[in-house]
Amino acid sequence: MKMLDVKGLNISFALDSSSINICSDVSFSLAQGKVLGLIGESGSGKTITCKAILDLLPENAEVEAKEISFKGQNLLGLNQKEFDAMRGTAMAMIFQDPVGSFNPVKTIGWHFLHAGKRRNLKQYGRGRIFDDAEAALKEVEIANPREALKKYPHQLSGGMLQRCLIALVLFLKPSLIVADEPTTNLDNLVERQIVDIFDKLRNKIDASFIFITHDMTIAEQISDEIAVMYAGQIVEHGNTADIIDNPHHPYTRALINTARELESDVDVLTEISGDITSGLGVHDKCRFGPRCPLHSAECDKPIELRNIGNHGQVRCIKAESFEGHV
Amino acid sequence: MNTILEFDDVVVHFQARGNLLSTLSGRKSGFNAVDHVSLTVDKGEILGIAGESGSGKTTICKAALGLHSTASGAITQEGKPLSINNGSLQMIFQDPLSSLNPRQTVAKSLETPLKLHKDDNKENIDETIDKLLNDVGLNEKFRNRFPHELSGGQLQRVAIARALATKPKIIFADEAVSKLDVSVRAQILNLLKSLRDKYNLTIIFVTHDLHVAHFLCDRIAIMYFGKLLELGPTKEVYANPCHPYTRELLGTLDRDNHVIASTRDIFNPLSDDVRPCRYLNRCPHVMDECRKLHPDHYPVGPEHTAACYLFDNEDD
Repeated sequence: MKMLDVKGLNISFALDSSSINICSDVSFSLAQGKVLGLIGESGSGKTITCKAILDLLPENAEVEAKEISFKGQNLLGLNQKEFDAMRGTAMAMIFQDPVGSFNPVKTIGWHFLHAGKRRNLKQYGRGRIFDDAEAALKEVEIANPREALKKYPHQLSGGMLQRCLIALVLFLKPSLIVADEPTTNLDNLVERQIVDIFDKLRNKIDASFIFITHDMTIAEQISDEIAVMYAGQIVEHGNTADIIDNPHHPYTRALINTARELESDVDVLTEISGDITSGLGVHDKCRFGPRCPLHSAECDKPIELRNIGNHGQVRCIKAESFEGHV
Repeated sequence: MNTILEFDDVVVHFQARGNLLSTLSGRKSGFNAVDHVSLTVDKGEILGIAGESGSGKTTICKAALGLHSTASGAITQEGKPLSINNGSLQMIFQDPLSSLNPRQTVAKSLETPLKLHKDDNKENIDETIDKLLNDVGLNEKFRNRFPHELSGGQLQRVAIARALATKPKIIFADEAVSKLDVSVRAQILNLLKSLRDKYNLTIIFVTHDLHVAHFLCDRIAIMYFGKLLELGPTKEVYANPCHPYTRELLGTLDRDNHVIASTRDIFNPLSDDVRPCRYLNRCPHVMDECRKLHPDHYPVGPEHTAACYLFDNEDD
């Protein structure tokens, strides 16, 4: 069953006199129980895309789409109240900064009670809600959940807080969970723990995940599919193994190459020259063009996302030249 | 090898605010962020300091720069006490945007250290600024830009240029690439390496990214809650990690085969006894000695030492 279907999503932000395009023609769908790894650097539009789906963008954002449907229901026509009823219970987002996600003057338990109201658990009373909360905290390997519920956010470490946040989302039992760089601010060891927890959870609960990250190795471990975004467009989308073993877009190729080189013994890393700003807001040609080693005159036209055999989709007219070698 | 910087039994103490109870009971209210660390840095090498947050890796750098005072121990540069005012030590910070003045142009930001540390005339300064920009892969077009007009990679290049302005001998780079995007990270890492070769710089590179440390660093020091746990050539440490913590840390790089003691308590510097081994609570190899005293460094390979009783072979 299709959990989420996004077609032709365009997002721009209105400025004083003009508007600036952030995402253009973003399309993907996500099946139930699957994990989509959304990869890209800052400014590539991955967070904005997910916030648009959950209707969390500020008022000056202009969101246009052919379709955004969730479990077959069209989200585009919903009013604020109908969306409120879904957010948190049907779909939820885990943010990058766990410290900023909690109210600093309230205990972890209070957050669960508050979230319980969302789930209409009021009639259960504190006891039942705390029982559910403890079960959720156990799920994320908090050793002493009863104690943790009494703690304030500042009494917990970053990794513990991130796990509490994940538990809070699990407690709501949503069917779509968006995790926005949940490991970026954490140390290697803690990062590994969180990734392991996600890895365990996705097999245990039947929610669909969108896992936003800039780290190819994490996406490789955790996701069924990978979508790579660059300057507001999806440039490659396919099965994780396909993308990792045989990337077709020059940008994906460069990202994977850098990760591989850091793991091996090289003296000089292969650079991608320039930066993402050269591709932002470009409409009439390939956005990666200014940085691409394969760039030529043919690339200076709008490039469509196209299917390549059974590999998936690629937004590059020269993708075939990579066939068969990494 | 000639030593350029030496940390001898350095302690940096942070005072925490105690409460009435702790005052009355005479309990300590503070902890050693850097706890009896001895370390030498050779001229021209890139030394990596790795560890999780709270391990004291940034604090030890700041102590060398005089930004924290040491409680005991000595830090010497080429055998002499540190002189922090001659510009021979510089630091590159994690976040390039907040380390540059938003209201100063690139040229102005670079001019200040030049004026402070050299008595060059205006023409020379202009020339030097252009040369610095070229050194870090920018050009004179960037002179009149403001920080908000630059991308993250360009900003970090400007921050590096500013650090180079005083012709430093040692550069401390505190997580200098961790805020940068993956596609830009390779550029800055290559740049740091080439600058080291060009100017025979000594770079102390603080990081929590083990892949980055593996690429860039000649030697690596692993820290954990103020203690130096393992020190050795990067290749040797990665091939043959000895301290149980290093093994756990480097084990995270192995996707399929890693064990993490996730639920065990970590050391709490404010409430736990500081005498036993810091890694006691998480260690799978605890012995009697570990509970008594934090171990000294024992040699485990060529120029490779680990602070763990597992390697105390003197009795054998």
